Amino acid sequence: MPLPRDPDTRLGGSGRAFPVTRHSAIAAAKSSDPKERTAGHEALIRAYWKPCYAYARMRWRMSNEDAKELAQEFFTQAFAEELFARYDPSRGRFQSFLRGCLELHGRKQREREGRLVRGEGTRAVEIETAGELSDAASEEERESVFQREWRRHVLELGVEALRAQCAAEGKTNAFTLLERYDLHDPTRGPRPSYAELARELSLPETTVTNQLHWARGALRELVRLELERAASSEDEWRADARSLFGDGGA
Amino acid sequence: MSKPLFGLLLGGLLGIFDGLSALLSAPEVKPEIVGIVIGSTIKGVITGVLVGLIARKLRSLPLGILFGLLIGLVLAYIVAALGDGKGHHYYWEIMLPGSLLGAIVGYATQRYGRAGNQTARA
Amino acid sequence: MSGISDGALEHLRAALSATPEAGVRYELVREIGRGGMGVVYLARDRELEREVALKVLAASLSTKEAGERLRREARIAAGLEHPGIVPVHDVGVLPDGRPFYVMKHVTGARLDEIARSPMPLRAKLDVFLRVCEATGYAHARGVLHRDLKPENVRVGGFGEVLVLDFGVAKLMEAAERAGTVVGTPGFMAPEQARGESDLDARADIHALGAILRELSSGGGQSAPRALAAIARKAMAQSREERYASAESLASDVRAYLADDPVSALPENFARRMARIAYRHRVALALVGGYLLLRLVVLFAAKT
Repeated sequence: MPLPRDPDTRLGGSGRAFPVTRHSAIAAAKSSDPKERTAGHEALIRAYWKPCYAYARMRWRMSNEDAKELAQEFFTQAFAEELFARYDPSRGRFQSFLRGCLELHGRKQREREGRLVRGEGTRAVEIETAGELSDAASEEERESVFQREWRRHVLELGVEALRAQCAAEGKTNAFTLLERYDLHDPTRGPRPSYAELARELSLPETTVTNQLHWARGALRELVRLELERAASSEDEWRADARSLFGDGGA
Repeated sequence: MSKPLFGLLLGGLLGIFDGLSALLSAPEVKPEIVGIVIGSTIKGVITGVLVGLIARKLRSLPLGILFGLLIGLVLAYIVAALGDGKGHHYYWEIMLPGSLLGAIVGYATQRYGRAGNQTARA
Repeated sequence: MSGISDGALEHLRAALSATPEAGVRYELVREIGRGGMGVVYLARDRELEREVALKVLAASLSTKEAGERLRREARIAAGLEHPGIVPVHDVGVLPDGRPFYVMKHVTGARLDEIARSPMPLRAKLDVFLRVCEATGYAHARGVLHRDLKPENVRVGGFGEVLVLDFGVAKLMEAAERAGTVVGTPGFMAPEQARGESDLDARADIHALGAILRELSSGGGQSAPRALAAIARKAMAQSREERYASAESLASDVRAYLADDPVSALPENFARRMARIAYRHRVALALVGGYLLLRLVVLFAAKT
């Protein structure tokens, strides 16, 4: 049987604790040092802009451009008003707080648009995607959608970083295997088997298993780094990792 | 029962029968039959003890038979060489069966009887 | 880069979350065997720094229940501690759902090679008796093998006999569904081939009989009558007619080796005498020789 493990240690990754000397993104965003503040802003945008954008598209059936604009405005305003400084960890996770702020921002903006549409000008609102989140959706549903988009985004960041790393280290096969196997879209047909991939890439099946494992391990590390950058505290970082990886640890 | 003792008893018993069989092959020796039987018995006893002692140390069926055969042959030769007192020597009649009896005792002491001094097999 | 699809998202999360059994702890080195039940790899246990054999089953765990069944059966198999049974070290699931288990890497000659070799029959039968012992031990603990065959037995350089894959058939069944026919034609019991689910120890007895037949007739010579009879009894079509246990089968083989009567071959008087005579052939030859000699001497004396 697999040896018992302490999930917290695993989340820490080889015993590495949360770096206390680094300012968290949120603390950095509050900093009086402009450089630190900018760095903090950038880290938060990097981590949360895309989920906010995706959420906006689904929540308010916004077009691509409108959602981008909304997300941009949201963050600009949030930094200007030091919105994130008001986050109180005891009341919940940062993501929930963020989503709440975004909801408020989005609602206000729609009211403004509504006024515009009603008579103060025209503004085309293209509906490109069927919104998943109608107004009738519950808070839990919205929360879960946001979570999902956040996870997707973080994993995408990790995958991009992995691509770059593999290219730099000459491990293109490993990345290709991850892409073909783990990133395979099931709606496009059955996932290829290890044997098929082995044939395709002219590799022994044992190599497929080993390289795929390596790629996943590397991806896990890169995703952990992304989580670290954006988290506001060690607890939150752990919570984020658990949310992403589940209780199996990573 | 130890191997030498077993050899002694078996050799003695076979020696008695061997001696008595002289009545069949050489009826003229009937008057001396008691002496013949005693002699044959002693020969058998000595053969049995010697072969039994060998069997205590040496666990090999072929070798046990061989030693029995040789010892039986030698002792039988001694007896045959003595003759019947009238100048008759029954070499073949004594040596051949005697060697075979020695072989039988050699076989039996290998197969049966307690070795005693040997270490027990795992 | 196009984004990660919803389906891929869940899979990727699961793949990254999966406690990394096969990948991290065991590094696959090369394939060393392939059979109906799966593929065997030589692998390296990174934690204990030793070579192991890792067998990936050709089944696929599609449900959580299947995974739990697998673990349960693996625990039972791992509980078999006998010098003749290859120990199961670990069990797990590859990310693609295929279960695997890890066992000691055993080298040594396969029993089918030994059957064809010029090794003396008695030595081959000694090996067979050890296989029976291991089988009897497992049966006593409620574990059937269900795929006993010479390929699953190894004889090491020091004469140690090891039976592989005990309980694996059950693992396969646990992984997939009941009624999976697992076994090898020629060694499988008829009820096993029919896919019946209430198999018992006698299915393995059938296989043991087939192994005995192969051992006693390998190397070109025909099997001795008694051994052929034992094998026939073990391989009876109806399981009620077979030996009830591995021990009773072994007992008959031991009787054969001791030149005693075997239960599988009823003896008439003549056969019994012949067997006793054979058993004591040396003594009879010596005594016969003596008596013959006496007769010759007697005859010579008369003429």
